[in-house]
Amino acid sequence: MNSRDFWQSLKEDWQSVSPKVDLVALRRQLERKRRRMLVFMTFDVVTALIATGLLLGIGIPPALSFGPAMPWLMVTIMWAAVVIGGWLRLSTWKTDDMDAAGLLRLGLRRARAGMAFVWLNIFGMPIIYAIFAPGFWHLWHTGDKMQRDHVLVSISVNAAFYLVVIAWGVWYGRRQRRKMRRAHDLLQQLEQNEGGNRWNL
Amino acid sequence: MDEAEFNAVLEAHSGMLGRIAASYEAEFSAREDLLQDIAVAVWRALPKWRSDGSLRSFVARIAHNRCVTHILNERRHNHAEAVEEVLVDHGADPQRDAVNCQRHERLQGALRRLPLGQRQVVTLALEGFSHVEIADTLDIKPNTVDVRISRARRTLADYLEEGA
Repeated sequence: MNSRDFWQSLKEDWQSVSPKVDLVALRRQLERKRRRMLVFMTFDVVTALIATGLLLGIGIPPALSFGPAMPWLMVTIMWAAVVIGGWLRLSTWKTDDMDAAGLLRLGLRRARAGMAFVWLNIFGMPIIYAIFAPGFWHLWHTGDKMQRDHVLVSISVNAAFYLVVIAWGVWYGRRQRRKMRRAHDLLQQLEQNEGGNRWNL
Repeated sequence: MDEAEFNAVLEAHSGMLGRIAASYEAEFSAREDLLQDIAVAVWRALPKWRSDGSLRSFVARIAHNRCVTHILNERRHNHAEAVEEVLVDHGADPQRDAVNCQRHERLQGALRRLPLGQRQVVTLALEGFSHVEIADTLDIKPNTVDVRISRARRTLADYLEEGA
């Protein structure tokens, strides 16, 4: 069989089967997916805000709260978290171009941003704890029993939360590393067909 | 973009979308999910489509991009395994359909083993896209299309011979 016939027969084989796509079911699933995405997004934002507020509220004993400035401090920390998170993901929202290499580069950037986010959480949280540590120390040594109990509760809650963050970081970091490896592999597969490295890896 | 337009686009390209999804994903349920993702991506992107371009190329590009993202995000590499289930529109001759189905499956299996760049151009070429249309769809140079197709043809012939 010559090359032309071979290609023609492949085309016939390929087009002879049309996978049956149940459009009605697909549209139903699509609608469900859209609703689910909206619910998850809302849930995500609301729980993140509540969790941050609660943690700051529980984590800082009343004697350490900065009086009337406390709400402003909390809002500032939350705002800083949103800005840092946004900055990390800024380069991951849009692809340079719409070819496969552009998409893979985007995937790589997202995975790197994900890793940076993990490190930010793992190293950033101890810094926040360190800022409040002298106050806790002072309260532990000078406060009454109730204040000491509050310090203990704060330390327990924050330590448990930090362990959860570390466990999440390990899981998420592994996932991102796997994604980066795969993106590199696929970019190499594309590169093989170009005869050179166009993608500045 | 109203729903009727979107439905019409999905209906007109469902065969091509199903085949493209199958060239990236062998497992049936994962392929269904991939198809859903492609449909969502088409729905989101359609307002950006300029009517002076080819709608088929536009939809094919979205499908391929979605498939690349799918490969990146999947938990394990399973796209090269055998197809578990193939849904086919059965025609009047079930025996001929079965033979076609078998040959199609073998071709899909061989296609899934191709490197990404070759797989993309071959899938579109088999859909009947010209080399210029493929270059436009994948945003690559026409001579890159030629190189990839010529390499893929040799590799495909080897793979199909192995499986024969």
